[in-house]
Amino acid sequence: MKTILLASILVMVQPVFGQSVSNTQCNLAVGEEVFALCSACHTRSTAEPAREGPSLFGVIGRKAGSVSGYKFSPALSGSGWTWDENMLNQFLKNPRQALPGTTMTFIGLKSETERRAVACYMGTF
Amino acid sequence: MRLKLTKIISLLWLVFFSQTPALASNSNPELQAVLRDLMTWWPGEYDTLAQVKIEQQQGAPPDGPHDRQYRVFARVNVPHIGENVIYGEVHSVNKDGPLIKGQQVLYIVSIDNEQQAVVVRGRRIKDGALHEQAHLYPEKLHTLELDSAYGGNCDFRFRRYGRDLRGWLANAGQAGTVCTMQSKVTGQTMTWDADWAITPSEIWVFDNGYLQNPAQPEKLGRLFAGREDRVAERLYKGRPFTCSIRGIADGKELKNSAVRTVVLHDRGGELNLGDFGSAGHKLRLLRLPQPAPAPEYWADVLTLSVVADVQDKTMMESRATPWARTVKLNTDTLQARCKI
Repeated sequence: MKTILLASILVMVQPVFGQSVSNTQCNLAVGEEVFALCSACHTRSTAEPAREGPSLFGVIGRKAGSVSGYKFSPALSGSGWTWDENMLNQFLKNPRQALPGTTMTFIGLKSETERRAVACYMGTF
Repeated sequence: MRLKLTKIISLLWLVFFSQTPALASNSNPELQAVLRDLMTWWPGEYDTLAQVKIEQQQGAPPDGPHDRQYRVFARVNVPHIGENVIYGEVHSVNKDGPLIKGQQVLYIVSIDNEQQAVVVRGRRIKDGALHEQAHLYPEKLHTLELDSAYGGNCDFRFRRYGRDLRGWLANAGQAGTVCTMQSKVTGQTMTWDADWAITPSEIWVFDNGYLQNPAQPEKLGRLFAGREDRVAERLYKGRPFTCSIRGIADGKELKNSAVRTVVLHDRGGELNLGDFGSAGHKLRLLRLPQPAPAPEYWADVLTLSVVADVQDKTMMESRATPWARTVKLNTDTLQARCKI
């Protein structure tokens, strides 16, 4: 009986605990590794010349499609989105399905662990 | 002794016959014909809307539905770059959709007798933003240059396979069916696994890009562009129709309503109807393969329709045979007529 009770408490607590971990824990090593895929088209700073995509410097908290001098797709600039870790997590799963009309050709990241890690890593620059 | 000689002669015949078909199927006259057909079939406007619609109706492949894309390929006169050159650009969604950066490419076509193939060197152009729709503006062609920052040195090698022309990507001058390149900007190593099939009416594009992990250089790396299921994108070649549209009310032409004339291709050419009092709607010309008249036989159906932007819902539609030269649509608010 005690075991069942303990298990029930754990089942109830785990999602909350799990969520708080994923929101606060940042696996920068994985994030940096995954970011290599992004860096083919995006820089981490504004000092380097822009590549195919806009600089991701300061992307967290930024309104989507708002980097001056970069021509965004109407889909992105009209999305009304503001980038945060959750939004990046959703978008990076499959960018072209998340935002039809985007010109980003990246295939996406199936692993939520990787998406969370890279989104968190993007918050460091 | 005689037996040994017979064996040697048999072996020589075997070697001769095993090589002959390869040589014969890629002789210079045959490659000339491949080059001619490539330069004839390839140019045109292409749309993947038919593939998107078929996947919606019949089911999507494992990686999910394909995205809609519009591509244009046009032969361009750029003697400073080559004799047989095709310019290509890609737009997301449709012809009026945004240009995909880095995908404005000059395809330089030539015969390579050593490789026994028609070689297509796709090279990114410099200053793409300044050269959008370069094929429509001769003044832009003079300033077209290849992008020296592009690290790729890959060639498609096209040969004839039955009716189709098929090209596999490889490192220039080397054997193989993938191309490995190093980005001059980031230093990253990428491998492209690509194969295109060109017919008079369609292009099938398979194009997967992998990013190498420096810690595991012996492996292909991670897929970052393309599709895991390796299902080709089908580009359907459009025929240009001239369409006249006029606004009407109560069956009469609206005062001050000028006839609008536009050219729409029949693989998904579209006109926004905002100017005709139908904001959020578009006129669409589409020739779509359909399981008709029986499921085992598919045939194109040509439609002219009014489509709502929301959920791409068809509001009104008229149909014609696939090779009809005229198709008309009358609604409460407009009259449209398209002819080729």
